[in-house]
Amino acid sequence: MIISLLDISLQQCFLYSIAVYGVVVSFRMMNFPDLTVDGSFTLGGAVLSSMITSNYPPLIALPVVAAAGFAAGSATVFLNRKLGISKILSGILIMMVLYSINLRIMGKANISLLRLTTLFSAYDTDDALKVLIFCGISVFFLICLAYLSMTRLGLFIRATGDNEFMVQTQGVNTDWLFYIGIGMANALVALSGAFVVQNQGFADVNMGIGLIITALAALIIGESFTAALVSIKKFIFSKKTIDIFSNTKISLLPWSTISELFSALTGAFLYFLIISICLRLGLAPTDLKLATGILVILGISVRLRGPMVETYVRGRL
Amino acid sequence: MSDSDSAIEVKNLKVVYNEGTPNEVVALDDVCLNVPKGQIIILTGGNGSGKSTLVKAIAGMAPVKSGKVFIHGKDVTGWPAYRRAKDIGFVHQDPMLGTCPNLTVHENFQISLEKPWWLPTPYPLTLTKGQLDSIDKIGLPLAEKKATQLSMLSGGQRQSIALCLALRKGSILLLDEFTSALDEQTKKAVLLYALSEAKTMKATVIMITHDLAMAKELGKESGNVVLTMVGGMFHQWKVTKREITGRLKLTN
Repeated sequence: MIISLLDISLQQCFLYSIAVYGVVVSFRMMNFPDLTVDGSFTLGGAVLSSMITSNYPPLIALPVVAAAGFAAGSATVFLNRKLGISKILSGILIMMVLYSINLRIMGKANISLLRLTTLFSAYDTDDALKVLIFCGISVFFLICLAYLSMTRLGLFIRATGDNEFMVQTQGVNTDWLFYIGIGMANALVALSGAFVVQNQGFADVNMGIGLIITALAALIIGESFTAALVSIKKFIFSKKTIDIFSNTKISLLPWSTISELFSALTGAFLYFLIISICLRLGLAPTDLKLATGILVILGISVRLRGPMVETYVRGRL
Repeated sequence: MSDSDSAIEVKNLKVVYNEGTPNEVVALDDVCLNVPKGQIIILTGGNGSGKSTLVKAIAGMAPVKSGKVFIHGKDVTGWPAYRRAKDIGFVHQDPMLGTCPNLTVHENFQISLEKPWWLPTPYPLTLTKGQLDSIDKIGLPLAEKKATQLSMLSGGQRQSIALCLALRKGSILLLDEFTSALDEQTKKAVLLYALSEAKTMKATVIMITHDLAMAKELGKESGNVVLTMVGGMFHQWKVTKREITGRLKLTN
């Protein structure tokens, strides 16, 4: 039973973790509470399923999915930067618009991919191999994002989320950084939707509803977990105080971002583990959203007293 | 086109905040200013006299209704702030606005470097030994704090970093009461550092200060000009040195 629980949560966590990376980029790196993801997740699934049913190979569909997600994110940024609509409202507007667009793309409320060739249809019988492939995909995106955050573009994106005014006074057009960052975040979410559709074998127009809460729940659980790991490490190495002023070594890696990405991955795993345990214990599937909401509230309120207080002082989420 | 040996030229500038609303404020009206290259101007005046607005209008952060702003002879009136930032270093009076709190000292310096976007940072800090030493004197041992997050530093230290970033930027330096968050001793050290750096770089400086004693002291130095702004719709410029009298247009 434990094996099957792990198996299901691992399969789902690796695919959903790509969406959580997207949320890390928008919510944490860019400080942009982007609600478009509910729509762009379904958009990814819709584009992929309609392309596969029209006999396009899945590998050609994936770049189209990413481009569609990027366009959705850019639309939100356009509403915010050019038309002066607030960040949250522009996200909600695009999310709503995407519902109709997704129905247009799919033509009906759900599309089944049974007996059609998807990326994973060759490995349907081998669950262990499937988990390995999903893990590879997720780690690939994690490494790409970690490299990006090391580059100058990544530095600009992180700095824009931190203090947009400062980046502007250094002669950088922050509008473009928002287009790139939020576009990329939504491209990741759309790709995640496309992978999930291929794994579960169908696309549904409602599959993205509440994704932002799922992703945030996963991220918050992951952050608490990472913070716990850090305090355990500090306890073991008995380094009671952090000596910030003797910190002269420059590390090439931006550790804050990398720990966020790591939190996204572990958080996605823990979230789906908790959800599948809840289901196994007899929770009705219709109560899942309630359970997720309670999980988010618990995660935030526990973390407020825990070692992650600093994140709140910074005013992120 | 404008006079090419002037660094900053402002012609008949009118700035209106909240236009068309009951809170409409005309902050500047028909202001003219011509600053030659390498000139250091110390700008004083009461609250609400439009000092900050003038500096912001030059940097592209104020709603200009009419008039023109030239930088090095180029008409930049329609340019957004980030395009002007290639020539202008701006230090805001709020130390929180000039730096990124969640990035390290080193990463903050990386932002101002001109490098390809796809390469990994960090690049080595390109401050000279002399610059690092003088920053040490201000009370910011940069060499020891490279990997420290800026939110861990004090307001004064953050302001010093904002100043260093602005100094690295360009030929024009706009300092908007940037020492107001510092203690007396650090204030003087930072001010003198800024002005001496600006002189060695032959940069043009407009510095706003509320400290009249400081303004007088700095005005005694040859070449520096102290201007006083008087509030209201019309602005009268009281020039205490002769150098640029002829280039100022006295209104009202």
